[in-house]
Amino acid sequence: MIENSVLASINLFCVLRNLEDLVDLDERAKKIIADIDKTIKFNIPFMPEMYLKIKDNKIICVRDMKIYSDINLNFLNPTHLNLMIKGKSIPLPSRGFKELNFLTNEFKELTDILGEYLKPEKEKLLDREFNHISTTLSFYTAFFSVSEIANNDKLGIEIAKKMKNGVIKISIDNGPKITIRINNSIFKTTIEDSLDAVAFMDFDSLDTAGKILRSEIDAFTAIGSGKLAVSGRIPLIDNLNKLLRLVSIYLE
Amino acid sequence: MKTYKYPQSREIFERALKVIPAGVYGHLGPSNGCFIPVSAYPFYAKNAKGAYLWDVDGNRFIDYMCAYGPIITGYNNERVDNAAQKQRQDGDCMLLPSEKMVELAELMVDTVESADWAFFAKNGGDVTNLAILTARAYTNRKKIIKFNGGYHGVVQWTQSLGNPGIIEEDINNIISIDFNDINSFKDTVKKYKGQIACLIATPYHHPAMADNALPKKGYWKEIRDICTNEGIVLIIDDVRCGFRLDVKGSDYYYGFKADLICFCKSLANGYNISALCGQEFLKSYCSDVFYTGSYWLSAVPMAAAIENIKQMVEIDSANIVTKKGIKLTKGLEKVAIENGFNLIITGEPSMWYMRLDNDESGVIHQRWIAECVKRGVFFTSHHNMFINTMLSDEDIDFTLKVADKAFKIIRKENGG
Repeated sequence: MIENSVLASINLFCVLRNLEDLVDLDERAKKIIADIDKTIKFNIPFMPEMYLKIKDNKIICVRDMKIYSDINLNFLNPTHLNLMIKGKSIPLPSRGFKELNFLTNEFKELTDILGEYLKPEKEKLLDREFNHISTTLSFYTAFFSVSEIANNDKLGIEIAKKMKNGVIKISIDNGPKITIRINNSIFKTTIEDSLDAVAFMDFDSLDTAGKILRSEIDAFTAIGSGKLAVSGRIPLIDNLNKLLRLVSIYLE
Repeated sequence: MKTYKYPQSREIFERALKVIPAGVYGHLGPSNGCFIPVSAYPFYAKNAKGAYLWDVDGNRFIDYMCAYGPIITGYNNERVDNAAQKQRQDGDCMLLPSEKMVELAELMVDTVESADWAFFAKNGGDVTNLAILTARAYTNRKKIIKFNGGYHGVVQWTQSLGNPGIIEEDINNIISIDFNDINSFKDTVKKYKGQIACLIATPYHHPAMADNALPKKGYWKEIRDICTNEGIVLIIDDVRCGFRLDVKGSDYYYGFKADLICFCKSLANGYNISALCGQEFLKSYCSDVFYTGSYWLSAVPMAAAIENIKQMVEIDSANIVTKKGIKLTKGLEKVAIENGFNLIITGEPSMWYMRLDNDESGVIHQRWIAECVKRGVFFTSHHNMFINTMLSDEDIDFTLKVADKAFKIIRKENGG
């Protein structure tokens, strides 16, 4: 069952977080933020605040600390944010009224580009570069969402309780690498290689990762075919797969 | 020492992927079977005899999984096969059961110490589930205690929340506690007084992917006494251990008496049959449970089981596999030490579990197992192994040579 607060966490900290990488991967996005120096704050009751700091041709997603913001976007509740992500609602700005143009123009363009990659049209996936960016961002979204679900979703918490402390490394051959650290059932995802991992999930290609994330093939088939290799502490991988299944429900 | 390749296995697997979910599903498959890496393992068998299995590429393996337990008197055991063949000529799946069913039940009652009756099905999960239904029918209670990591099959109540297809309501009445922790059991019984139908447990703790644990001294006696006093049915899931520790049942082996005891794997040396045995006071409750299956009363597996049990009693198979298990595991420990590794062996010798010490992730152990498999010794990295009576001293010597070679390879890989 989808919990609105968990979906809001995913939308904020996993979907919008991708803007950090989008501006590195997509030339259009890079151009849009050139010379922009603004920080947007997302404020939802009973949820951690998130800031998107746009500066020096970079976007940084800031969580769990307070920084100055030029624009404050308030939401009545998690559902309000989820509706905005679907394009069915608008936030309530409380600071930065002069910046509304930026929100409706540049920022909207950025999120539209992000949407193109995260909800790709099949034909566009035939383009190699588009496919690469789409799969990379989907990969990040999925594994960042794992942590949100393990930390916040009722069933996710139950699954997380069964997972011992340890580090899981998820990698794509010649592609991105993700690390998930589990400490007392609290999950943290980062985009980095790790030297202290005890469980490993290695995709042989971006193509395989994309197909699994889009449910075009299942993990069992990929493992049998040698397209996905798992090793190390298998219970961690087994339970990670259960969390990934919940991710697909949330992101459907 | 040559290493194996598996082109035929892969070719068949490619065909399978088109028409079978995951190609090979379940514990025999590359995913649940933890084939790490998959390239080291065969996928399909061609034939088997004694302690050996040949894959479709003609590679021979000493099968230390014994088909995950069923093979105890060796693949294609002549006595068992002849009995099955004779019955096949008379009939197998028929409108009525054959006399073999009664003969087998009588033999089990005579052989298994805690058995006053026997009910037959096909898989272990059929009878663990029947045991639960019988216990609930007898007690009119809902709750079931089981041990964390214990495996009792695949029906809903045996699974965990988060497994695809499992909903909260499926497991609402399942209470999982730690094995060998008597206080946890006492506390649970106190907390849910009058609500617990049964405890279902394996005779010793043999979870996958974790060290196995034998029962602490006096543990089962205390559990038995509490169950008796509280009206809780004590179910022993002897599906995996049954006949490998003692032909009279693993409860007998550990010095107590189960109310219900479940058998499958070794019962008929690979023929498809399982059995729930129980004490007299539960017989009528088992009769009341609506429970049946298309092939559960087929005669061929029953004939095979009869001959297999007779043979196991005659040759004292439990003693044979235990002695072979001790010889093998001692040898493996020694070879490991000679190569600078410490191999931790747990569980009973006839179905031991092993892992390498100082290998936090288990990756080195998985590498070692893979190198053994590629050279004809089929171990697994995540599950207990099994011994059958046909394993010879020469097979053990060969195994130790392969283990030594595999240790040398991983020692080199790890800078040794």
